[in-house]
Amino acid sequence: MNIQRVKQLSIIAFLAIAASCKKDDDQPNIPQPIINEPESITSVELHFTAQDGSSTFHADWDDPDGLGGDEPTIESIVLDSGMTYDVEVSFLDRSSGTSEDLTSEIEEEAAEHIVCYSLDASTENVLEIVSTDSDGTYGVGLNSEWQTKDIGSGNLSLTLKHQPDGIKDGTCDPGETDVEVIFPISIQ
Amino acid sequence: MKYIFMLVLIALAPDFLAQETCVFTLTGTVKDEHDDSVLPFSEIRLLNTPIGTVANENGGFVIRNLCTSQFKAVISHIGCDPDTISFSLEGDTALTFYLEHHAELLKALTIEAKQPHKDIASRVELNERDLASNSGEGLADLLDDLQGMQMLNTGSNISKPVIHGMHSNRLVIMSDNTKLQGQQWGSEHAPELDPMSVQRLEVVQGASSLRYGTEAMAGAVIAHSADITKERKLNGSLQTGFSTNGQKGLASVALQGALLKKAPLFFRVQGSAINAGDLKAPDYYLLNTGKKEWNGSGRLLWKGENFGIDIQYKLLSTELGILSYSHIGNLSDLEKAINSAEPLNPSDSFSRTMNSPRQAVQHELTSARAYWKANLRNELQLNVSRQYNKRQEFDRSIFSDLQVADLQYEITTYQADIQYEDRIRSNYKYEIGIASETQANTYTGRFFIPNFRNYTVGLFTIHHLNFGAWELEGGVRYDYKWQEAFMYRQNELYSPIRTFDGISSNIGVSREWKKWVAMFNAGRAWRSPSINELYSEGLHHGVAAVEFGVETLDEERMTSATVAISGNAIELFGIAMDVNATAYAYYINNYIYLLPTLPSTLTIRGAFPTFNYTSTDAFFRGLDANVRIMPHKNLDVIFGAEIVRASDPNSEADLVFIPPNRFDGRVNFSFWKKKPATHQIGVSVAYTARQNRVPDGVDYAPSPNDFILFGGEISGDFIIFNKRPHYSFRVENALNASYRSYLNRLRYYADEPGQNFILTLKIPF
Repeated sequence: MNIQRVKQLSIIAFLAIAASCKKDDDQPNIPQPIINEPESITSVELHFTAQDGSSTFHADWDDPDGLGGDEPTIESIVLDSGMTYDVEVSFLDRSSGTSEDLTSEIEEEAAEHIVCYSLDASTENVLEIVSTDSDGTYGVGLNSEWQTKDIGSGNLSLTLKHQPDGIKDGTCDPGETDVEVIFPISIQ
Repeated sequence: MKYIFMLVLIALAPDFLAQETCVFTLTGTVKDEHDDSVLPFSEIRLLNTPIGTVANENGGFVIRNLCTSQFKAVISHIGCDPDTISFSLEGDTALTFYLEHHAELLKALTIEAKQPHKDIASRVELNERDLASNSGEGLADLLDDLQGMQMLNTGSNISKPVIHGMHSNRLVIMSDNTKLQGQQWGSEHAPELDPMSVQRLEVVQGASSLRYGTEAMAGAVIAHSADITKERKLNGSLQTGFSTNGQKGLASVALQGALLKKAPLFFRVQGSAINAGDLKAPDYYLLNTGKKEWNGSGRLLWKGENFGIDIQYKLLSTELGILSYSHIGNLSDLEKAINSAEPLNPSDSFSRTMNSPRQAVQHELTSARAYWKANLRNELQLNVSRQYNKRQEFDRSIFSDLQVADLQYEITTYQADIQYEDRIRSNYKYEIGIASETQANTYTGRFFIPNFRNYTVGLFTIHHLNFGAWELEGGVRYDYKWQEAFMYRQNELYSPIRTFDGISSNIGVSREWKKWVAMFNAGRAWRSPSINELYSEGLHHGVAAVEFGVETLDEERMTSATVAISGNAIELFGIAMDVNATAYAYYINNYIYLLPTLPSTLTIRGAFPTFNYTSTDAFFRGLDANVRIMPHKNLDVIFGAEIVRASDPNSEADLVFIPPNRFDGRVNFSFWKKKPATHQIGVSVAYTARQNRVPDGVDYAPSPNDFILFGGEISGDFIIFNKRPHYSFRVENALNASYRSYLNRLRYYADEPGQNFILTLKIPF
């Protein structure tokens, strides 16, 4: 091979990469507004409908500014004893000032998600929660039926798990936690 | 006090004795000991005289008007260790000097006691051959083998060097004359340097580290580029390697030579690529631990006798998978992971696919260095550089994997510095320099650190003096830093300005007794709080912690003292051996660290433990030692030990994430030792103790147990067509031991990689 040609090509290669200097187009003194993680969930709403048609209401867990900033606002769940409620849960992104409902995306990927409810010692015997929806194999928990048996008060924890790659087994154990919120609950 | 001593140093520089009539001429040639090729442009200096010269392109030189005397000449050539040769002159003399171009095979501490005006500090390095044998490893993995160094990991393919328990902002990494600047504050941000573009790695501590600025508290790691002036005709090398664990393949090609006939203009182009899939722990694959990297570099060098200019461009582009199991949603997920012996969903098949969480980093470095040597005594150097670093982090998202980075930083750094070195007398030289830097940083996506802009300027001077067996070295540096950060607080633009300044100084003395050298070094150093320590706010994935910076933090200031002793080729019970030992103590005022703080932060993913940056005092002390025994000329036995302790003297609590004690041993046997080719076979064993000195309530899980790792290596080189191809075949974790390392931030989730066989080849052409 012509050595001179090799040298010329090397220099051209060198100049070509050196000329591709990369540049930051953003201005340090104009920071972009804080954006949370894309499609992050900031709010959980529980919509209650009494099966006897006597009442509809909702309880919200809301933290639109995400981590840090203002503390989340948490509403209590107040139920009547001896009743059965149909409960629908929705997950929302309110980080950008508007409210974007992300529940339908969870429904689309129902086989990779599960919503679990767990009650503390003081309420586990006075309330029973069962999922009423299904991904074909396992429950999803976006729709559930809550049956109140007695009076009592305590805490209810709601967990949304992401269980991709076929690891969903109907329990809340596998996967990564996307949402874990605690609602105070009282049954009167 | 130190400054007074400095003045005394300058004042004491002795005058020369009157000289007799001197008429003799010394002519000589400098050659490579191995292949007899000439070494052009070597520097020749006669010790204890102001006389010196530079060889021409054919390695030849002439020194006139010499007196009858015993001389010691120091011959140095860029990229190789200087050599001292004694001779007596009683008339016109012609000599051929041979330089050893390939230094020892060992990764042992070498105190460069044989040179005058050497830096008084423990100095360790890895040469071309070590790097060729270990090609494909990251910078920190390479340095880990050196005395006093360990590494901090985030998983298996992100690692940072640690010197004496300090890393990140307390350590400088230099790419030749440019200080590598990216987002080095993060422990999961690996240094952006392609080890395959480097010929020699060196660790510098002591007064010489004053050159590198305030962050060089623990020292500086210097990556030296290849010497491209050694051969004028077009030449190059091809490096390839394959590792069984992760099925990692790598290749690097370099091409270099002189561009013009008769002119000292040289060029080099180099490119390398790495592709690796999931690593495997003994019992399962480490899901999503692949790596893809492309690097390229180019260089043009005019190396004239009095004037030279060196232009370099380096581009690194890397994509790293982060262990899937480590991306957890919240604290209950973390607790579940810690309480489980294995990952909750271990993978049993190999994959090259890289999903989120992952990082993509690009680093571009453009630099120019010019030097001017008015005569052989002095040198004026100018360095300018630009660096652009783009770091993108992709978190695992709730829904389908979006190709948008959740977090992106872009930081652009400009540096300019001037250095002047003057060897006023044969036994005294000084250096003065001014260094400046400006940086602009922006982020996109999730907030963790704000935008900022900063300006830094520093002035330094370093002096070296020797009196026979004594060497003295001292230096002072002043730095000033101005920084403005930009962020929103309650939707209002908030742009706090902070300024920092301080003096660093260092003084060292060494004494040589035949084969022994003792060294003492004391210094003051400081650094400004880094951007995350001041303003970070956000969730640290993988460690499930919310971190908050504290904007009132002040400078960290350190006082240090180091004592070292080394014996080269000493004899004990008739057996030759090298001995090195270093003891050090660092006292840091305002040491910045993360303190767990209540209450925890409530988020939609549950409550997260909260950590605030805070400052206290810290006391680091430790001991490194190694002994190399040579019972036979073909056999080396090496023992090493590294012990470091760090605590807060106020509360007497230990500091977190300090390297545990480590002891290692190695036996190397050389065979077919037909000079210059040589082959060797070695086995190694390394014991890492359990770190029992941990503070309460800072870490989530207890320290992992101690472990022993075995390794082996066969390596060597041949001579084919006057070239020396190098091969190495290694095994790491030979017994496939399951273990976890205390210094790995992802140790909560999975074991370290298991057995790995590595074959590398370096073929020069």
